[in-house]
Amino acid sequence: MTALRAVVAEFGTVQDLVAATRRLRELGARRIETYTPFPVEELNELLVGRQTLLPMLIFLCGAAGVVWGFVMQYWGAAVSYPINVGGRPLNSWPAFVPTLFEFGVVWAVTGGFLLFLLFNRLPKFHHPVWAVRDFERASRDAFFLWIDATDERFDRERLGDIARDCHARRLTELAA
Amino acid sequence: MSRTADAAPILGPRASLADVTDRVCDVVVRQPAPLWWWVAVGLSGAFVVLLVVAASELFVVGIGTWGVNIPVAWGFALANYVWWIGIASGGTIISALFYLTGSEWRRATNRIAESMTLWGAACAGLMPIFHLGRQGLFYWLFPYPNVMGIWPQFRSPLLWDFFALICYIFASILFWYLGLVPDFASMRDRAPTTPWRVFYGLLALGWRGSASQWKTYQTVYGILACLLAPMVVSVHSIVGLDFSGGLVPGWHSLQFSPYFVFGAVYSGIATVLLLMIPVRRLYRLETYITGRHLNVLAKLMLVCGLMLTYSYGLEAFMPFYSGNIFDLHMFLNRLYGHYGATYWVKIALNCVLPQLLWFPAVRRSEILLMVLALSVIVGMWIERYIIVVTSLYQDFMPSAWYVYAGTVWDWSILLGSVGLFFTGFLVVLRFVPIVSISEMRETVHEHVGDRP
Amino acid sequence: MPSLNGSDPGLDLVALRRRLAGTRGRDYWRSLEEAAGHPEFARLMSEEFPAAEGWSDASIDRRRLLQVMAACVALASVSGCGPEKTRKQLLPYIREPEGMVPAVPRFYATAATLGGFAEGVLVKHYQARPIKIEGNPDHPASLGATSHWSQALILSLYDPERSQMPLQRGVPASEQAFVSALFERRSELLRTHGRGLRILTGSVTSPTFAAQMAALLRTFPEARWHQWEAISREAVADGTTRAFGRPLDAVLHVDKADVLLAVGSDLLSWAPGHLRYARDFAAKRRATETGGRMSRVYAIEATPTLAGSVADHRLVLPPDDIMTALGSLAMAVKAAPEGFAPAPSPWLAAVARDLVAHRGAALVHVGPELPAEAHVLVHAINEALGARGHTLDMIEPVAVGAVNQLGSLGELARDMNAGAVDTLLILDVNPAFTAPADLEFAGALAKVPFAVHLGPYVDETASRCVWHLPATHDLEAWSDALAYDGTASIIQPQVRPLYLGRSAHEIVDLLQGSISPDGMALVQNTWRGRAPAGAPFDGFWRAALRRGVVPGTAAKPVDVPLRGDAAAQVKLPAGAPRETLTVLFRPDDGLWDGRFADNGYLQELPRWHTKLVWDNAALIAPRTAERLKLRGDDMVEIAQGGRTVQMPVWILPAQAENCLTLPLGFGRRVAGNVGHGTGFDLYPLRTSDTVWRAAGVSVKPTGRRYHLVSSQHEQTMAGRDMVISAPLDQFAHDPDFLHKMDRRDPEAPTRSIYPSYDYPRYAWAMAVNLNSCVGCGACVVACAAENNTPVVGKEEADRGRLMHWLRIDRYYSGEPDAPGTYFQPVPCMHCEDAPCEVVCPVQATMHDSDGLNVMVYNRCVGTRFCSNNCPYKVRRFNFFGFTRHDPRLPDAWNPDVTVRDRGVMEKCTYCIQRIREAEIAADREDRRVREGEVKTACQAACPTQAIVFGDMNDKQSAVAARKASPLDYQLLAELNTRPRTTYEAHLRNVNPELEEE
Repeated sequence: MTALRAVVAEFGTVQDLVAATRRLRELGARRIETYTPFPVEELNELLVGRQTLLPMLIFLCGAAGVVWGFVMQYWGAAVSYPINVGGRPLNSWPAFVPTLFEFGVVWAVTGGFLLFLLFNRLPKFHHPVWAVRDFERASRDAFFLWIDATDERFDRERLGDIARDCHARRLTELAA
Repeated sequence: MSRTADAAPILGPRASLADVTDRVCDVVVRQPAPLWWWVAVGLSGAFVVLLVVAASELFVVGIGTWGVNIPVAWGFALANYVWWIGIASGGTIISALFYLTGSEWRRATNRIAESMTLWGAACAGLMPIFHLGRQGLFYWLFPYPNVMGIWPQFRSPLLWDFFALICYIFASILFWYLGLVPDFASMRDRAPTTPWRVFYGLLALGWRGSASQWKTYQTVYGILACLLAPMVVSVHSIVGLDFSGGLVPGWHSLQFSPYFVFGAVYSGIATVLLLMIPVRRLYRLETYITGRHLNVLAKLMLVCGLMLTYSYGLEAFMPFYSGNIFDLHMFLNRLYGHYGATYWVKIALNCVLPQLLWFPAVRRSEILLMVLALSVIVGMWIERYIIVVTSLYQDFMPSAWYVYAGTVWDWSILLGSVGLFFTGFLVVLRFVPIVSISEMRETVHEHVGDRP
Repeated sequence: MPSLNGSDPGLDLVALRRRLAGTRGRDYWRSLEEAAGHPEFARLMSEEFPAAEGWSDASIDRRRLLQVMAACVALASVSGCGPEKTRKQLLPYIREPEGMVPAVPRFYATAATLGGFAEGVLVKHYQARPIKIEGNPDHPASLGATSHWSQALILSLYDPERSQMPLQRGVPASEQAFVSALFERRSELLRTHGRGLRILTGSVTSPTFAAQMAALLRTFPEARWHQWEAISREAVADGTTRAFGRPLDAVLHVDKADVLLAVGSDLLSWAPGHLRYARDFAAKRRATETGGRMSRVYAIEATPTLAGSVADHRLVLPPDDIMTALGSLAMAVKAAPEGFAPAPSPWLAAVARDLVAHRGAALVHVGPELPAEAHVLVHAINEALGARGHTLDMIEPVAVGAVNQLGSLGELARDMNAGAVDTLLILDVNPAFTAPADLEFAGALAKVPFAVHLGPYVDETASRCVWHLPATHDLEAWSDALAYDGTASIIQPQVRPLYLGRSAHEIVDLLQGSISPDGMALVQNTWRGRAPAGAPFDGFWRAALRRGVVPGTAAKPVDVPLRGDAAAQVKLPAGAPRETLTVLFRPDDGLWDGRFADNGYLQELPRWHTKLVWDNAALIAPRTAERLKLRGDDMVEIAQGGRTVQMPVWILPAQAENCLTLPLGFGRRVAGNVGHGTGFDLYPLRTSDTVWRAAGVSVKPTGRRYHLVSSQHEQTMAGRDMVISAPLDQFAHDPDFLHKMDRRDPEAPTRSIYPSYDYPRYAWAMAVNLNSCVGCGACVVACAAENNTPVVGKEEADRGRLMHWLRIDRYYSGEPDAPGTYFQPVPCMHCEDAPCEVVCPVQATMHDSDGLNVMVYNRCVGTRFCSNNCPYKVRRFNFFGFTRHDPRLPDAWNPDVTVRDRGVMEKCTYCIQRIREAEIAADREDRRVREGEVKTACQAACPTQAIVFGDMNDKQSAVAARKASPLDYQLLAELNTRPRTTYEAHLRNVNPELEEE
């Protein structure tokens, strides 16, 4: 019999999925992942935890934008090509502020989007879980739980019990 | 939103996870484009052609074909610009600001609002380029190293506006697309044929909806919303500075930035209503876009109307308070002068008519809502026309006073841009889930549960 | 609200009068509609929803001027080679007087003539090509100033529509053909002693031409010489003759007149020597600058003149009443016996007292439009006031062969009709257009078998003559002419004739039988005779050419006694019945008698009072318009003695009741594309006995409307301090009154919060003295000619797109019937804290190191925010490629100034090309630019020295002095833009006795 890659359980409700996930976590399972049509708070806590790095990075992007914006305007107006415009001082920084804000925001937004792709390893156009039957319902009304066979606590039998207890609709075994 | 007696439920009957997904996806991927869609595209397309013709005339013959003159060197183009950017801003306010307030009703409306924002901003972006004397050189506003070694003039409100507009359009596109990624995944999974599956598969970037993806998604989406809400306020404030940055009586006013933001949200919400009502009917989305949503938006429109009325009041109060003869002349002239009629029409459309929204019955009537929305949209254009023209045509030097009137070409540009907007929006209707499916699923999950 | 006129719907003048009844003096009234409180929704709607043709006539190819492009291209190759370097030597203007622009280009002296009288000019040559006209400081009639007509000369020189070849019955012919035909005729005439030979010219002061004619008349004893000027000065000559017993000319010394009474006067507008008179006049009005005493000026007139508009007290009367008034005045100053006329009104009595009180320093001047009787009376009055020898002198008549022009023209017409004329030479006049209608001159021309017309254009006369010959331009031929005071100038050609042209001298010489007429030789011959004996002629000739004047030719005063009964013999008119209408014919401010119709600058020069462009209109008083139920733009039919014309009316304040003023010169039927079809021809209404005015006129509305275009739409200052005007006494008692009436908002900071830049090198600035300016418009045309500003045409002017960098604002205050009038030239203010610069996103407008607000055309992308943000609205925008489509020859553009293309902003640069020229010259000599070394075009042209320009850093400079004056104020100072252009407040030297008036 060929080696097992993972077992994917399909649930009908969020509650069942969450229950099953919690059971597995209690048993110390590490390599599990859930697929849901919409974000579920409990799963975030069970599987992901707090994300602090991301906001920090996005903030840095914004800050970089502001700095760049000011340097550019100061350089252009006061250093590179100083011109007497309407008797205003060369470095009339108050007039630079409105654009600084826009620069900051647009850099942060761009950075945010790129980090979103980076953190999620997107774009990624192939994944074994798509082999699971009915998996397209993961983006509709079904809830899937992926248990990786490489998990050291992996136990096929107990997995069956849990699935049954949690009213899993189906268990799919994925070969490696 | 407090659940008042007149508030309809946020979900209609037969709402379920499957139903919301199928309804929104199938009109796009499983059904052929309906007749009304082709008719609408044909109509708005004709106006796009008009826009192309008017623009060609403009580029070949020159800005002189417009009505602009000295002293009224700005005319329709600037009014159109402010009008469009205002409509656009309104969309972002709904999708970003009300995301932060966690308003549940927003989930059904934000996609329409954001799509409207994109095309409104696109139309707005055209105007400042058209209105240049030498349109081909608009890129000289970019701070790029050039042979002249010269830079843009960073003190000019026009330049702030130029940057603000570009940043805003770019950020709006990203925000709109980020929200779409999970929905594109649903489309991919619902698509009956391989080409569609590939098309949406690519757009979905391989989204799987795993817990970690959702977490990152929520974090980023939230932060972007936090950024866009103030951004849209700043953008329209800067649009206000285009005018209040000058010393022209009728422009040089401290309240312009908030005043413009009020107006922007006002026209934005009106436009969302105008688009949402037919869309929910034609796409049979009554279950998810309910009377509750219309009611909320109607109330919002009323509130904005009142805020704008307050600004009008302040605008009327200030000249008398300051006693500045130029402001006084400008204001009285606005009311009773050459363009007096436009002022009173503006008041009627923007301040008086919307008061009907106090009545729940009116807020329940889709027809009345559309009529009011339309009148507000027209009224807001007239407001911008008044701000631009009646301030300029009699400013400081009596000897230089003269009147302004748009030519046929001015009107063509305006109507053409409307055509462009609707064409764009119809394209979105045809290829994009017009309601945020993933967010609606949360609503369904919370109110109905997961069982079909 | 737009103007008194324009297409405003019916305005309730009755209600208006009621509202205005209260207002007085400096309490400026709103324009009539404003006062009548009548918003014009009709116009609003028409403008909000333009008719479908709106776009089509917006397209540029509809602009009239464009039609000539083909001609322009075709002729681009044709061009002169500057003053001929071959046989005939021209001599550069070397001795550069104080304040002349340094000559990198070279200047050649010559003279321009109007009605025969010379105005000395210097022609600026750039690579031997004339590009600009300046005044000749050495010439008594110019003193460095120029009229707007002279400024427009360059444009007409390079006009591709000038006549370019001889025509025989309208068909191009060779000049040889003409010459042989003429010689044939000549042999005929020699046999008949010239019977049937007639020569028709305009007024002539040229000694050479006079000599030629004398000779010609000796050869052909039976030939006759006729003269005709449509703007006739016969009343002047006639009146003088009747007063002194023989023809004389008066030379005025306005600078000596402490009290001046101008009666229907053309003193400042077009009288011979008007530039000089304006200079002297302004010197007296500006006296506060030097601490001298300011003159007091009264005016009596039926229709606004420049002199009347700048007068301290103006009495508006119908012509007949003016005669009576003069009678009473003569009586009051003891120039006429008691009972000669009705007792003077209080106003006249006060004026009389004032005049008498200033005996020897008083002067009365009356214009040519008043009958000879008026001139007789005025001579008597001046005599009684002891004016002669002080404020005026009598000299021998300057014009040659001063004949009774009207009579002689009438005689010519009669003879032509009678077939008694077989050879007619019409030299540089256009009688077919300008001759009195009753003479049917055009018709009579057909009866002349050998009629020759010499003229610069193929005009109405040319098209009716057998032969037409292209005449040389004033800048293309040799001649000579006298100024108002008899001073002679040699006219030297500035460029070889661009087209096949002949001068009048040459034609007459041909008729004398010379094979190759030589203008220079002819002129030299004249002056050989007159050159001081002993000295070599060559030196005399060169000197005369260099300086532009022949020294010592000014006429000496003659002491001819005034005939004792001069005044008494005058019959005063009975006084016409009140309600009958009178029309007053006047030359147009720009087109004169019609001869300048093909000049775009002059067509587009806003008329002095109406500010109309490209059209003339029947000017009518508000009350009369009210009585006749007429509105501006109404087409009316004006009928008199069975003759009718149709034209629009224009409501004009300060116009006498029941008088319609009709500006002549428009409505040319045979003219170039510029001149053709503009305005309305009024000559058909003008007969021999109604040359200046026709009584008993009927005016009836046709029900149709016409669209007149004016460059200024608001008539008042709308309660603002654009022109600050105060009584002289107020200034005398409190010289600092201006700064006490602080026009700034006390809250507002008086300085910028920013540290201000300092301009250590130069700080160029301008000061405009509103006491000098008489609103003549010379500066406007000079600016256009210097700075290559395009002519845009009526349609674009109507769209508010005139391109003048410098405009003259005209404001009214007080009662519509007799308002105060204020002229204010407005160039760029060159603000130190310029609002226009801050809002430009591409740095296309900025400050240079001398504090000039400069425009970088190449960088401009055309956002037009700068114009919106300019409180003075002095910026102009190229809405179309105006210059691309300009018909003038490429040579006509000033090569020192960039020609702007479509879509860029432009504005007054203080003539930066002249500044840089001077700075470069100064740097080369390692010195500072001297005071007066830079003169802006407007300043140089200004007859009244109202405009002073210079370096503020130089405390000795004139501009610094003016800015130090307590009367100096900034326009819109409350905006704190710190303009470099400032104004000197307008003072009125009011007569306390008339204060109440």
